[in-house]
Amino acid sequence: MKLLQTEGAERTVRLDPRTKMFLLLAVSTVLLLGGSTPALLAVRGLMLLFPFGLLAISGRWRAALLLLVLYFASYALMAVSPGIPFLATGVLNAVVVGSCTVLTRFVPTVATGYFVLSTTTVSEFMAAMERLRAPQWLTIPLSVLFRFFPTLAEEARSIGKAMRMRGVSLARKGPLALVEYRLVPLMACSVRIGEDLSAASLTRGLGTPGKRTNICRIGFHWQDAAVFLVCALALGLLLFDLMCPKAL
Amino acid sequence: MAGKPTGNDALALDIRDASFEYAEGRSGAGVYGISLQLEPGQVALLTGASGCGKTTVTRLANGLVPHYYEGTLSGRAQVAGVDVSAAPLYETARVAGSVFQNPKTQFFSVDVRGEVAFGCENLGLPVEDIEARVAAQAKAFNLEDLIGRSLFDLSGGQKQRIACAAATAASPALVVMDEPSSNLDFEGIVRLREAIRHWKAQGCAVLVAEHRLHYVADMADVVLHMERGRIARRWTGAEFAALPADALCDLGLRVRRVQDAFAAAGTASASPAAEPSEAEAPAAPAISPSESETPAAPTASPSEAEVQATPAISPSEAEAPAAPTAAASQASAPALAIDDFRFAYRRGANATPALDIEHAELPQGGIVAVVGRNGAGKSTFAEALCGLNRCGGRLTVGGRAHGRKRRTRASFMVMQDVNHQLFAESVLDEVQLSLAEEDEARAHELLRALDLDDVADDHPLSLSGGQRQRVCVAAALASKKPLVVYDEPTSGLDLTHMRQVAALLRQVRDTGATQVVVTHDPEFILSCCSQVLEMESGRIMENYALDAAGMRRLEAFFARAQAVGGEPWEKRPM
Repeated sequence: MKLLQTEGAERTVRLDPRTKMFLLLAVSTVLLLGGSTPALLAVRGLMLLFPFGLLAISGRWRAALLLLVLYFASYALMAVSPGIPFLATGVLNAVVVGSCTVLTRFVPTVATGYFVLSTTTVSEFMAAMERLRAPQWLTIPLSVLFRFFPTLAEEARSIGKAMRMRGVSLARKGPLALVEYRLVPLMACSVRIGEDLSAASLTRGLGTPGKRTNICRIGFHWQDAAVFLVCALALGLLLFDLMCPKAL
Repeated sequence: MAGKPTGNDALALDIRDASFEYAEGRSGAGVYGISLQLEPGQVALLTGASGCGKTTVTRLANGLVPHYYEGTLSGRAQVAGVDVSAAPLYETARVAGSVFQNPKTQFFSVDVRGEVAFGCENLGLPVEDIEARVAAQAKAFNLEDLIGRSLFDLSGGQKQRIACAAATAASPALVVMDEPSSNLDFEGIVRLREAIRHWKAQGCAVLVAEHRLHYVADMADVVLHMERGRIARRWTGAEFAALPADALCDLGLRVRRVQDAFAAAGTASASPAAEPSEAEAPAAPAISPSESETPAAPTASPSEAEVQATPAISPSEAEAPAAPTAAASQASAPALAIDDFRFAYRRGANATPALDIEHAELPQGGIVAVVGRNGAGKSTFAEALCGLNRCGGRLTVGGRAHGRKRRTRASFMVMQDVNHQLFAESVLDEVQLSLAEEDEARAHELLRALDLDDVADDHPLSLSGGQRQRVCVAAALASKKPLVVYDEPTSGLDLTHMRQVAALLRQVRDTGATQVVVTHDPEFILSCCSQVLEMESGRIMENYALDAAGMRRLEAFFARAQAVGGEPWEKRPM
């Protein structure tokens, strides 16, 4: 999984970062709060198209497929669990239904989040935040955080390799030691990476008072308008349904 | 310029009697009584053993001391008239650009264009001006092909070039570099040299803290040697060039030119006594049991000694006439065989096979250096040997073939960043973790052998870099794995520490383990390796023993690398 790509990876869809933020908000709200009346089911189905469709169009079809399978599998499991004897009641039922509910509610949000993060560069993000007149104290830490994740992911992969090589496995050491062995080096690395990154960005004048320029050209196009329209419509329907239940 | 000019504005860098001690004492070594003046276009080279305070001096110049790393400062530092010890960091950012050691952690953006523009954007320059500057930097540092790419897809050398372009996009008066070559391959280093030459020509002053001197020594106008936080010696460029080689060695400094390393090794091997030089030493003083039973080497004529020092039985060497007596035992000595190592990254950018090896053999108990330019597949090869990537194929050790999963169990990799592989709460536990069963006596024995028994109860992450590396090696030895692989073990090491690593490898060799070292360090190869693999485009192009003939081939390899990299910003494939 790669986060924060450049334009090269985003050949097919170009959305303004602000559109993406709104999309993330709309998808998560509608799919978290949406009820099961026929009208809202339709809306939720429509909103589902966004995360998986956008992921697939932007070339991440494998991630899209995986998340989609996960999404429908949890639905299917919830649907069939009453028919399976040992899943119908008891603790196991609670666990399965509980985790499936969480999955069905959050997978689309995760998919959208992945799409947004993996197709937005740090400069685009900063440009968008500046256009939204967000203050520097909010923009800078957030962008450092975004920059930090992919580096951390790289580190985590190396640590995983080292653990396999050292023969540190679940069977040999147990789950607790496994977590500890993974976290200790990761935390040591994060502290150092964070410190180095901050030092480097300060020597480049990050945080200079006054207006920062941005060479990143962001702006709205027809596809942004379309996304905005659909999301606003979905949010409107959701709001209407929440205010006057049974109307739809 | 917003900084108040308070002194000699003609100087690019003016440090006068500056002393600094870190508040918590953790972030680095303090420095005392530092004075250094640089005019525009001058290059200062700062050398000295690890922990002597070189980094702190660079931080004095770019303002990270005392504004980011806190502590007590006396004296002052000015860059182009800006008092960097008093001005906030964003003022200093206008006049001083910085290039750091680790390409992974000095970028703020994730795309090349954004990164080069980042500094200028922060300073609030107009968009058109920034666009022009980015284009100019891309041209000067040959980044035109990379400009739209993601920083995560690039090699270390490419990243460091981007760091150079980004540091100077806002036209600073001074560039500060802290060990910029430590993560670079040989070609990347030569390109770094071109960057410094470019700045010098543009009238930008350069302050470089480095262990590797060969790429910058002849351009330096002043060379400073630091000891325990003070400037112990100061030479002009000409004086430094005139120093005899052994004086350099006594100071613990690396060679000034790559050729010098080979010359030193060459004169030693050409000595009439046919005493194996340090470079050849690993091959001769017996590794495998079979060889130690036939102590023929010391009395043999030089040519025979050469044959015997050729442990590989790879196809190309099989043609060499084998001396029946000495070579017979060699031929029967088991070798590590590598078969069908083929691997390709699926991701778009690297669609070409990253690794394509049909068959190769490595000498059992040898120390094999893997050399080649960035992207040649060296690291992929190292990971494949350890079964850490999806590369299939077989590795045969001692007559037993190992598939991918079994290789993970039969091998140990000492990673470039050893922090990734230290998990336990104490050094002793770390070693015990690798032992088949708990055996404190054996663990202590291993720690003693590697000079670590003093720190047995310390947390591994509280140790110095070299000590951590030795802890990893101790763990490797404890696991009794027949193959130990090192990824760049000497990057960023001074002469003393490099020699310690070389000694460590020789020590491991005596336990019978075979070692493979991915490295760009000619001095290091000459001081301990017995075999060389040259890689290109995922293939092993050459596989030879490091005897007298092998040394000539290795020298030719580095000469080629230097010539290729030396062509100014020549375009080349990934």
